[in-house]
Amino acid sequence: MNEQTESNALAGAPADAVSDTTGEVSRLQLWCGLYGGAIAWTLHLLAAYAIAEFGCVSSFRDARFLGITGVAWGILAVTALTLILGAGSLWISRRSQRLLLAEFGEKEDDPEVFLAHIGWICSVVFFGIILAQAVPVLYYMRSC
Amino acid sequence: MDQIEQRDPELHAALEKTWYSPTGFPEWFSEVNNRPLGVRFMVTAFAFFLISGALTILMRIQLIVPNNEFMSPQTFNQLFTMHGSTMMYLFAVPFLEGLALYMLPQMIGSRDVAYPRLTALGYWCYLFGGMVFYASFLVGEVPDAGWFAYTPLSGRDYSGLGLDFWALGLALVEIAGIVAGVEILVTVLKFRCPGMTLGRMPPFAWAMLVVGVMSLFAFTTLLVATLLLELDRAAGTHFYNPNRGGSSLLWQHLFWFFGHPEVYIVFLPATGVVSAIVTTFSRRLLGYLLIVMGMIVMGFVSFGLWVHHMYATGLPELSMHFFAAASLMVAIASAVQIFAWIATLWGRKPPMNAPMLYTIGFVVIFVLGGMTGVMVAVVPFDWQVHDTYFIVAHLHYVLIGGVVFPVMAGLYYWLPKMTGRMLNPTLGHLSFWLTFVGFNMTFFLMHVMGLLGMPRRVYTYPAELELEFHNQLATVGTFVLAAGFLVFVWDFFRSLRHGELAGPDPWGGDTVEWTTESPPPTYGFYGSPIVRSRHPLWHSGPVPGGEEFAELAAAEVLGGPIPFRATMATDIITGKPQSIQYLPGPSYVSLYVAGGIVLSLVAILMQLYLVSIAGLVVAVGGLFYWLYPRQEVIEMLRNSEVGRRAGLPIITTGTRSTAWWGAVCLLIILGTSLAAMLYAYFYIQLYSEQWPQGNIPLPDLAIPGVICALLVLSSATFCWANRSFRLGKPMAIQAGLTTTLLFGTIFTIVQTYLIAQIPFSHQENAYASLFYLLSGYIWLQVLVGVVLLAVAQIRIWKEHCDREGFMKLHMQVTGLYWHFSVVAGVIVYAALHLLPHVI
Ligand code: HEM
Ligand SMILES: [Cu+2]
Repeated sequence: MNEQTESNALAGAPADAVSDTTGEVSRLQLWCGLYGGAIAWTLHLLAAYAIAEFGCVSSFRDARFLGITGVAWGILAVTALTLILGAGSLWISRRSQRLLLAEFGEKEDDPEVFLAHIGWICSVVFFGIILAQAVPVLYYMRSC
Repeated sequence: MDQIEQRDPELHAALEKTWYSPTGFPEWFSEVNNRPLGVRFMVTAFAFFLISGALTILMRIQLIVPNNEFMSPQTFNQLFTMHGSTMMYLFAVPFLEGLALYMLPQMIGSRDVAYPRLTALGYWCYLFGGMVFYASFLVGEVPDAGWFAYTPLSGRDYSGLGLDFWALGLALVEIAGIVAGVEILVTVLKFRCPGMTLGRMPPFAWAMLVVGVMSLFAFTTLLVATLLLELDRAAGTHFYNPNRGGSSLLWQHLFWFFGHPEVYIVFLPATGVVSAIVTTFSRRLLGYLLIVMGMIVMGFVSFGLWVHHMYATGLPELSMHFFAAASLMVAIASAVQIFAWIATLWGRKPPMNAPMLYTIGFVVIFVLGGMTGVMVAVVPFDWQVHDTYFIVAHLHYVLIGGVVFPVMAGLYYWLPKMTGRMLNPTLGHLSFWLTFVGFNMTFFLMHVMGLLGMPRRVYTYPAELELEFHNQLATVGTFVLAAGFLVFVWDFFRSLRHGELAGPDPWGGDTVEWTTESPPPTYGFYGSPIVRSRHPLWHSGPVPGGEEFAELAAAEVLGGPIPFRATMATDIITGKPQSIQYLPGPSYVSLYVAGGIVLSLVAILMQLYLVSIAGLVVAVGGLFYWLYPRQEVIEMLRNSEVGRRAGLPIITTGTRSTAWWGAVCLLIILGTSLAAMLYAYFYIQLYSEQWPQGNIPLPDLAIPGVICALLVLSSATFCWANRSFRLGKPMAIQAGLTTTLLFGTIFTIVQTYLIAQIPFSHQENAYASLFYLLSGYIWLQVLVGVVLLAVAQIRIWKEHCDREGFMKLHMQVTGLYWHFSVVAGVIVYAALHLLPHVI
């Protein structure tokens, strides 16, 4: 691990957040990789639920464009947006994983390597969940 | 560290003295140590389990023949309500919390949990809540609206006093749940011993970490929902009353937003237990990453499923299928864990002892329950079996399979550690086979009964249904099942005296709880655990942050006698030693605060509103005494030598301090309750023809707008004060804090006036009720903030020189709370005053 932070801690008065960067991958990137997918999924859920619940009782339901309801368009749009977010998380976590593996090798319980691995798996799974949750809307393009 | 620790008598005596567990009367009530309190949780919860089990025997006797008249339909309603509520609120969650409070610090190598007095508060709230539940039997008004108490059935038009016992008892249990969530979350993050990186945490700790976060959101939502229910019942508001513009579906939404995660709140710890057992007996763990991923995914996704309990309520089909898709996805996350365990066990020939048997029983039963779960997640299938015995079968397969079996496995596994005595293997086998066979006899045919048309929650059935055989088998099965549990209880008491001595590590386990003697000493660890791999007792590896540093710190903090209670706090990711955390000793304050809350709630039950306020004053006074920093303690910490010797700070700030984490948890709780209330507000608005409802005029914009702007300004002045604090300018600090305080006070006073002047009553309609609710909430939030500011100001005035230490923390925490209040104020202003003008 980083020598400077270590001597810092030994001196007993380190700064608030220990910056445990391994050079190329920062803690922020690791956290983004870990939670990015989950956050994208949460946003997708909230937005799609709000659009379905609120949209289906409002005039939104009858507004149509290309024969598809406003509700369906709305859900498609948030799906696209959150998938982009999810893809971002995939990219960050994959990148951290690659860099850290190059640096430390396959040491799964090294704190950073572990976070990168788990971030990558979670990002993949949440990406899949967002996709799966968007499937029903394909069957309800014209009505609620 | 892979040796069992040896005890040095002198050190042992010193540590015993610091960490003593008070005994006798009344000292017993001042207990704050995690292990005795964990035991109290578990014993109380198991007692409730047995009581609730006795209720089911009565129900099953009633159902043994068609048209039976053993009990009245009213009694049957009361029994299934009390059974379901007891199992869900008083057994499953508290038992696992107790297990975690006991075992978690042992597994992660800490002396105690993060907030010892909070542990005690949680226990007292839980105990009193359970007592309020069961006090309903004394007055003969037993709750009877089912464990989810749907409105309007649970409203005051249809349900008597019993439901008040239910709602208020539940409120107390919810407080206990939230408190335990905070406790567990911060303990896992901060109190892991040196070397325990995130990737080396035992799966049980991962499970509890996820559960801790989930509890904050889930229990807070339920707390808001039940308080609104109680307001409807006691104060005549109309949140859930459709006749006055409220919505009964609102209750279902709020309830199931808690209710589904609740299933995972009890299931995840159970999986943690199973992972521990599977690891120990197959001497490896495959798929650790997948197991952890499964927990994280389940933790999130379980909050996105609540609508699948509401398929039969006429929601838009689109949103139903949206939730059906999510429900199928969460099943995959559970399946991943099961595959990981099976792969781990494959070809390893684990010994078939009681923990393993119960674990295998769990997998078998839970897989069946999971399969019926996937079936009912499919909308049209659910329409067929909704509210039939199919659901009763499903939920017991999931809950008994997914919670009770793992709990039994965990007890057989860890009781030797807790009592120091082994249980009898033969009796263990007997107990397992009785429960396993009895369980399937009781519940398997219920699937068929449901498909043949037997509805749930009926006290009897006609002979023409030809379900007599099914029901008789179920009733006999219940007795077999009960016998299985009683064999365990008997074995337990027998083992306390006659059990073989367990020694520190009877199973050859891999985690650090097996290094201490059994039962562990009051101070948890003798010596200084350092974790060098994922299975610290089996393998060794590097220690992040360096070997010598970790050893020095561990030896000083955990291995030597410190004159006060303290444990090691480490970095949340790497487990590098970071600071020494002081922990308070025995105290009555928790009991006092819990007593105040109970007094206040029970007084509502008896409609003694002045007493209720008095209770609140007691509770708030107690909290104030609790949280007010004691000068002696600060001095003692400042002058302590340990920190310098170990090279670690004792007085910490920011993310290193448990107080900071506690404040963040508090904000999550407050934010969640505000979100739940705003959800109620917008939900009711959505289904209202006009807004405001009735003849109520649009809300005023001007004066509320001005005070809201003042609030925003006060955020800026606080930042200024904080900056001056960092730069060490005493006059500017005082000026900044004074203006902040001034703005806050103006807001509170004007808001009091505005609330007093509202031209309609809260009983007018649902809009009126919501208006009062949100205005009052923000008033209270800011009022508390003003008090906090005043305290901070006085202390800084007295302590001006202490810039790096304790006052900095005080400023940080006050700042967190204050900025949050400002944001909340702006949001409420926008929702309540601004938006109705716009749409
Ligand atoms: C010990 C063996 C158990 C037996 C024999 C049993 C039996 C029953 C019976 C007969 C009912 C009423 C069904 C109806 O009429 O609708 C019921 C309901 C229920 N049980 Fe159990 N049960 C047991 C354990 C558990 C456990 C361990 C849990 C949870 C952890 C649980 C949770 C529930 C719930 C939530 C309900 C629904 C109550 C309601 O409808 O409001 N049960 N159980
Ligand atoms: Cu559910």
